[in-house]
Amino acid sequence: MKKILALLLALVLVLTLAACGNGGPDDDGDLTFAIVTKSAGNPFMERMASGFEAASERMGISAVVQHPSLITAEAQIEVINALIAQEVDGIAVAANDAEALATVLQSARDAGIAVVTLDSDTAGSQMFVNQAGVREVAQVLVDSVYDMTGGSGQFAVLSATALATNQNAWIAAMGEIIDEDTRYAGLEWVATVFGDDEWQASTDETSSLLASFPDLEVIVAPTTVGILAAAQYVQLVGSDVLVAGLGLPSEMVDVVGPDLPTPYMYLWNPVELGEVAAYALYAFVNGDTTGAAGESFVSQGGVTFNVIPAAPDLGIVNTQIIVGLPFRFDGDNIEEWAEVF
Amino acid sequence: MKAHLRKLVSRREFSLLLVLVAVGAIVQWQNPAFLTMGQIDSILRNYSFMIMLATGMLMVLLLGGIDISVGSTLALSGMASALLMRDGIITSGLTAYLFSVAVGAVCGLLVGLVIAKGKVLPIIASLGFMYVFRGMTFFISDNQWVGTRFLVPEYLDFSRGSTLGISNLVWIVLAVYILVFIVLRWTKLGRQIYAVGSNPEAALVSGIRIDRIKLIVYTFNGALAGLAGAMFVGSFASAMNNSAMGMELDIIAACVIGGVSLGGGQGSVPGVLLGGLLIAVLARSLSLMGIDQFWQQALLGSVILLAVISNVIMTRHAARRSLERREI
Repeated sequence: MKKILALLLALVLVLTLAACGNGGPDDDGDLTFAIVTKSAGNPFMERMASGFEAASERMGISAVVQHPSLITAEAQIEVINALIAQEVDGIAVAANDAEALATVLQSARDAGIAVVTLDSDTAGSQMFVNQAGVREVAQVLVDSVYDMTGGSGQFAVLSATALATNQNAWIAAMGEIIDEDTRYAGLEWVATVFGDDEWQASTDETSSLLASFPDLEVIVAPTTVGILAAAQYVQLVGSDVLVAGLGLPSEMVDVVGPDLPTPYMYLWNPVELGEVAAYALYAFVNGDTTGAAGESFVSQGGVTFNVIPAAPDLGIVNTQIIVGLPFRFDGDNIEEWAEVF
Repeated sequence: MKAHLRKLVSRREFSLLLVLVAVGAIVQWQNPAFLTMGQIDSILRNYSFMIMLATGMLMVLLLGGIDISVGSTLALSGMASALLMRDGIITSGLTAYLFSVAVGAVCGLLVGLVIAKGKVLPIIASLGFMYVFRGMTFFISDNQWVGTRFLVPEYLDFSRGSTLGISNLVWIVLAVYILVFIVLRWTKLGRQIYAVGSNPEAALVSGIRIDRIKLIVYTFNGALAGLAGAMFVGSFASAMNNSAMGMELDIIAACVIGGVSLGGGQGSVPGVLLGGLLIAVLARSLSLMGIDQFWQQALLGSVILLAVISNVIMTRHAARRSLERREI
């Protein structure tokens, strides 16, 4: 009885494998692109993959979506090895590690597969599809302040830790933008404080800002914990200071909207990020770009992308293209996006 | 009358009070926005968790133990109750609080069992549980936050609301302080805690069931962490899995500043209250005075060291004085 059962199980296994084999990409000239996300069960990654899938299909390319079971580089290496064996034509990966994927991505490229990174970069890729450039993020932050103060008035920055590279880059770029354009001459930057991405510290800093600067009009927090803590505190004490910055829609949904502490905020759109990664892979396969800085190409979505140099101090080791402006969330769309990520 | 006054002045709590007043005066001079009702209430509510947990830690330290798992217990119990609210199982604010307290009590009981029955060193046992409870927080929440919209409105209203112009959270802390003060001062349990901490052998010989006292104290400490978990989630209107990371260090610092001996048997409720207040006021005032981020922690640490050193000197001085008096 046991033997029969074992035989049956073995048979089922063989049939399943055979079925998988049938479903895999073949070499009849059609293209297949694959996306490797950071892990399963992450709503942001799911949306990114769905954008990738949709854009691939619009170009007549079949798409394979792979969510590793664990959020580790090892799990991604396994998945990528399997994709190399399947002879896909392009791989987009949101790297779980800045170094560990280099070897496997190199063997993918040796096998003639185009490789781009998105969301987070890693060595070994041909290009990084950057969700939003430093300058672009800083610009929307400055414009939020300009708009919320009504063109002139006091504002303060509530950041994460004093050593956070991306936040510091955005804050420095905000300073440059304000200095360069006389339009922003009426804005008075009274303080930059650090809430360490902690509730208590961010609340402390918000409270101190409100107490120290009675004429403060806007707090801008380019960090998801900071913006939420500030908005919650402002709402709690009934202050009319407005809070701008970068936040997660699902967390911010109760404080974003007209007559709420945060009239609107920004973050990147994961769907668009996935789409652009698919277009970038196509540009490589089609020979539209080699990924060298200074090149530019028109994507299948009809947008021109300029390839710009790497920025190692921001963790970007490859040349990059910038997807676009950060995405704006306000009272009209926040409910819908809160369901997404 | 004069003798009373001298006794009062020589007490550690009095010198702490002086330091607190001095710090307050300096901050007020630097930034007049400090001494306002709103600012003080805001400091108290933002540090209510730490100040309250210092009473539980006081009892643990009195026993000669230590518990560095309370930050993780806080996060786990707050998250557990937030998840049940999200899934519609907990629908009232009171249930949310009670459930969180219960989870915390179970956590504390586990720590106490390993320490009392397993004879594991308190720092090792609670270090282990610090990681276990934090890991469980990430696990049960699936690494997600629980946002405001998922929490019961009644629970949020209570946690963020105030009564007679003072935050409800501050009232809770006050009630806990009164309770612990009464227990330590006027109950048999309180005297037994001091007895176990100052001389375990003598306590054992005199028939005190040390294991039972340990279990009670660690469970109570865990339950307080659970209460703080419900307060934390309610106050910030979100449950995050990394909340209160490292808070145990602030709590222990508050106790040490307040004159609690890490060796056990020494420490008082008013001292701990003042220690907690000093840390809270310092943390807020450094940012109110616009002191550079990089300096804030170093300054905070220096104040802790100063307080402890002055405490050691004063204790020695007092001990010598009482010895001198005895010789005469």
